Amino acid sequence: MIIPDESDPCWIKAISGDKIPNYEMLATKILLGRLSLLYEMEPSADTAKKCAAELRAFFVWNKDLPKAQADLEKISGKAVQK
Amino acid sequence: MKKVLFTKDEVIKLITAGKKLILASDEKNLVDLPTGNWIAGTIPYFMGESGGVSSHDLIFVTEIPDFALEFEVKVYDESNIHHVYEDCPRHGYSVIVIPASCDTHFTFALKAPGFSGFATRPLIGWIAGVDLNDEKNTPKIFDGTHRRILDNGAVVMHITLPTNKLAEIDIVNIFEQGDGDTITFPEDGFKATNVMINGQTKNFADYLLENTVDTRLLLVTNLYGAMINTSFKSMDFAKKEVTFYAPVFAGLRYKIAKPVDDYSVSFMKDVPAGEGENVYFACNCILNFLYAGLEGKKTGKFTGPITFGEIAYQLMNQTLAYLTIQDI
Repeated sequence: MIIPDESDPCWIKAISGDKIPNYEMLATKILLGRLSLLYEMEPSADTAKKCAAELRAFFVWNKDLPKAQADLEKISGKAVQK
Repeated sequence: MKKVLFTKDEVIKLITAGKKLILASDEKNLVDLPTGNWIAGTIPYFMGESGGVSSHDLIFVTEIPDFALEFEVKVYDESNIHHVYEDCPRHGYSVIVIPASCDTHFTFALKAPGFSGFATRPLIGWIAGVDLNDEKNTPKIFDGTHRRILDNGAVVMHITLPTNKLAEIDIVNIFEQGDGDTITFPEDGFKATNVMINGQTKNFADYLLENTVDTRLLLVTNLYGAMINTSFKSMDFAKKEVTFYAPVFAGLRYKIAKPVDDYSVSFMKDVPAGEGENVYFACNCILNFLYAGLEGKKTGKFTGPITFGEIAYQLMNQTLAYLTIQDI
C-alpha cells in the first residue's frame, strides 16, 4: 500500500475537510474526530503538521487492514496499491 | 451457541488447564481462583448464551483463542496508563478492565484520546461494576497471574496474533444525533454547569428542565460518522450541575439523541447478524440492558459482560463494543 507522505495536502484536507466520506473503520473515525478538534482549536501550521504526521502514522500501522486501505483511498483520492 | 457462563469449579478446571481467560463475575467467585493465565473484573450482568441474565454465582468466560501466539498481563494505574496503547502488540489486540469510579477510570476516560498511539492498535474492554442494589461492595479488577485484587488500576491482557490474523473493533449504537440545539462544553469533564447552547451561554440543568429533556436519552457527538454517547447520570438543581457517566469534551458538538421508539427493537435491528463466529470479545452497557429490557433476550450472536462502561479504543457509553478477528 502506497501511503502519501506527510506533506501531501490530503491529510490536512481530511482533518479539516467539509465533506466527510463514509469511513469504514471505527478507529479512523475517532482518530479523525480527535485530530480535527485539535486543529480546530489551534489551526496553526505546526498543528497541521503534527496532525498529518499522526494520521499518516495510523495508516502506516494499519496498512494491512482492508478497511484501513479503503479509508486511505477516500483520504488520498487515489486507488491504493495493495 | 457456545457456552460462556460457567460454574466456579468449571473455571478452576479451565485455569489449571492453562487456558487464557478474561473473566467477569461477582467478587466472591473470583477472589480465590487459582493463579493462572487470567484477568477479571467484577460484574453480575451478562449477555449469556441464552440471553441477558444477572447471576451472582456464575462466571462469564471469554477464552483467548488457541491461535494466539503470546500473551502478557500488565497492570497500570493513573500514573502510567498513558503507555497502554504503546504496549499493545504490533499484531494482536489488548483487553482492558478498569474498576468504575477509581482514579484510573477517570484518567483514562478523560485523557486516553491524547495518549501516544491512541486508536492505532485494538484496545477493547470494560469498566467493572457491582450489582446496582449492592451498597457494600466496590468494583474490583483481578490480575490472575499474580492473584492481585485492585480497586484502582487497569488490568490489561496484551495478546499477540499470527501475522495472518487481524483484530478489529467496532460498536453498535442505537442512538444518533437529534435535530435540536448544538451543545458545547467549556471544559472536559464528568459534570457541567454552564454550557453553550447554539453559541449562547446557559446553565445546562436549567436547559434540560425548561426543555423537558428525557434524560434516558443522552448526548451524542458525531466523530466523522461514529456516534459517541454520553449518558446523563444525575441533575442537581440546587447546585445547577449535571453529571454524566462518561466525560464530555470541550469543543466537540453534542446534540440530544433522537428519541428511540422501542429500545429493544432498535437495538436488535442494529446488531449485525453475520458477525457471530468471528467475534472474540464483546460487552454491552448496563443502561442498554435496563432500558432495552435485555433480560432473557439474546443480543444477536453477541455474548459478554454487561458493564458500567465500554472501551473501544476510548471509553464509550450505552454502546455494545465488539472485537472480530479475521484471516487475511
